[in-house]
Amino acid sequence: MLRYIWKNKILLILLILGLWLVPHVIGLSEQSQTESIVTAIGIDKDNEEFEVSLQYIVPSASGGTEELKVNTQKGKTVGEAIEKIKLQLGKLSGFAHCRFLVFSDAACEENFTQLLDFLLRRKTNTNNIVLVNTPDSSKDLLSISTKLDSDLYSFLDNNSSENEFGDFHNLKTIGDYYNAYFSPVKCLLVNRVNLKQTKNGLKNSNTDNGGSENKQSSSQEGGKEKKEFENKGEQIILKDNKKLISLSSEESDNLLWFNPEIKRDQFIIENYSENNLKNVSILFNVLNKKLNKKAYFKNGKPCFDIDIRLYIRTGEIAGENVIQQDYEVLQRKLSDKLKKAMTEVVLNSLKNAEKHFKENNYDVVECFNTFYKYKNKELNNFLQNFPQAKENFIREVEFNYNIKFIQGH
Amino acid sequence: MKKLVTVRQLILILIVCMLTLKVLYLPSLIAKDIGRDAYVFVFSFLMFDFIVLLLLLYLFNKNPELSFYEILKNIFGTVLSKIIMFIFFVFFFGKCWAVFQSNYNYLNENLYTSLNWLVFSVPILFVVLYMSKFGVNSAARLAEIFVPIIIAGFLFSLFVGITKADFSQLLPFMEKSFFNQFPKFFKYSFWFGDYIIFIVFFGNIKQEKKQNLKITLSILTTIFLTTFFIAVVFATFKNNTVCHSNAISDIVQVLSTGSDIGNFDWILILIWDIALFLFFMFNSLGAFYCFRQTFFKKWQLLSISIILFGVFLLNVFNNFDIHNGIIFMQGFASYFIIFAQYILPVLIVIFSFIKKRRKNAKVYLEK
Repeated sequence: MLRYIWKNKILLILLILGLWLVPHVIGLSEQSQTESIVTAIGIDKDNEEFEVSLQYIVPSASGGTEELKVNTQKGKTVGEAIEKIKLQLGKLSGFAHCRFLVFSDAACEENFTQLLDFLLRRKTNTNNIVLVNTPDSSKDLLSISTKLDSDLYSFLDNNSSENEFGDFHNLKTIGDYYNAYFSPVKCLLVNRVNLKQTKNGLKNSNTDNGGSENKQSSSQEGGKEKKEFENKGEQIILKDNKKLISLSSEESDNLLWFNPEIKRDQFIIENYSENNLKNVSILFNVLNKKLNKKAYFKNGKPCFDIDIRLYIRTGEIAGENVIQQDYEVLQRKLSDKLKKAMTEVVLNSLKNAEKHFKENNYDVVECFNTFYKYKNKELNNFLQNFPQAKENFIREVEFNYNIKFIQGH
Repeated sequence: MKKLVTVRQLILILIVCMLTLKVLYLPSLIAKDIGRDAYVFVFSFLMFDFIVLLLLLYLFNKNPELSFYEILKNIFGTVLSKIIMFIFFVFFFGKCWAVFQSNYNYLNENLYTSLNWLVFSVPILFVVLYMSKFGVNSAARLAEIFVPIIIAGFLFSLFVGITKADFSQLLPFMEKSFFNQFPKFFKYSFWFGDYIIFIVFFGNIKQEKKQNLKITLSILTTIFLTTFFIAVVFATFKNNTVCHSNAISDIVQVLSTGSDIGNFDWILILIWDIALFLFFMFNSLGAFYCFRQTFFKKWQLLSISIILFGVFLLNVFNNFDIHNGIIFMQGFASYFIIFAQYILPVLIVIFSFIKKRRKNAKVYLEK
């Protein structure tokens, strides 16, 4: 055997390499002992200090869903706070599996980039981390989501453009933020989630146990306030590296019509009367949406045409004396009166959104970018003649809408 | 001389050398300087490469039986030929040095770790040392096995990118003048000129029918696909391209937004590590070939050992830091690289013309 090895030089060298490398690998400590797998980051700001919360996985040997824990520290910078957490845990922080970054309103009021700078300089690619804003404490938001199948994680999983059923509001990542930051308009819409305070325990006292002793203990617990995750569909606008404005769910919904990536939606026509239908509310489901934008200059004025083609289906008719026949009639053919009413509803949403973004001077509808890409020379000429128009370009633009409805099944 | 390498093998070697480095760091680096029009400049430089490759092909076709050094000796004599071979040795050695640290950083970034220099270096250097014993033939056969997988990985990444790319991001086209931006691009010369590896195979290629057409078409296709890839990278990552220093696998990460472990990028990471190894191996062979002609032809194992140890040692001095390497390659070294990969081959071909005409004139006078 030894003679065979000695004769075969390659085998000998491989053996030497093996003997050298294998003990080195065996001697390495487990990665979970040296590195904590961070799944989410929360950043709050309090008196010029950042309060950073890291949510990390506690590995469970028995399988099942891993527990998530939150550790919070304060620091003058995000990096300093993370360094303190690292010291406290005795582990390095690994951001390769970090899913989202929650930041409070206070944290994004001045300089949003300083929240991201630490993450951007990691070796790991952190561009896919989803941004989420909260009007409440981001630490509390992370604290209530201690399972990977909690509401917040479900929201993140379902609410992506990849998911055909969850396309309500697109999630925006750090990568999207930097794309927007380096684009001419510097605007980005970010989802906003809330914490709902509920009193728990009262329900338990009625349903769990009927005994008087138990009732007492439950009612004591009933006084405890419980926080829950809540998504109202609100958004905020980050512009020029800070928060510009918060949008209510209605204002956010109005903006959805301008987003070509969001294909599904709903809208309601109220107090509609036609033939047998008297003052009914009709809910329409948008099955698909095709959006075309066209930028051009007309008599030196920038014009922006938006053609929306909506594939719709009647979802519900609510009112008195509604029978199946009416439903089927609406399914087969849309009357001109109904089409007009539908156009009015969608147009109102579009105009409200237009009014809002013109008043607040934010461009999340790709208006400036469309001119920049397709009408670059004319845009430069226009901006040379009206240099003051560059900052407020969207206010100078005339928006024209063309809406078409197609019955879908 | 025994013919060792087939045209098919040569094409595969040229393809892997031309592709490997251009789809990793290059897109992010040029996006920083040139932005969305980067693909136009990449295309221009690749066309320069193609023209010089055609000149080398011409030189090869005129002397199919002679090695590159023998051709040089016929044109310039021994001393100048040795000097030229030394220049090419430095060129290949530089590529080996850079790609070795590139490979180290590539693994570190993708494995989220910090590998021990020795643990990384010794196995790779040993394998290359071992391969050198069998010469270019076994290296070419290795390319024949792996390059189809590498091409498949590249095409997969490209097609994934196409499905997710927003090509309107490439507009407006050439907002800044081409000639204003062009000088900026010279500092990226290191990432081009990989066709020079062709000189190693001079005199060792089995002649085939339509070989010029096959080589030309394959290289042109590679050029168009590489250019298209650079465009797709910018169209996918937009202004954020700068952050994606590992374009070939990062582009696949756009496939799913959920789990990172389940992504296909791991397959590409593994495939591209093979590509980096092949690139390192071919350039080591190139450096070895030039070293032998310049210094001594005996003690082959010692020659390649000196080269490989030199590569390792230089990287140790550089702390295996790719950023230092990039700064060096973009600085003074870029002038040397332009000279070695563009000016020198053109001069060689021009002098071969002059030599030929003089020879013809001499024959005519003797008659």
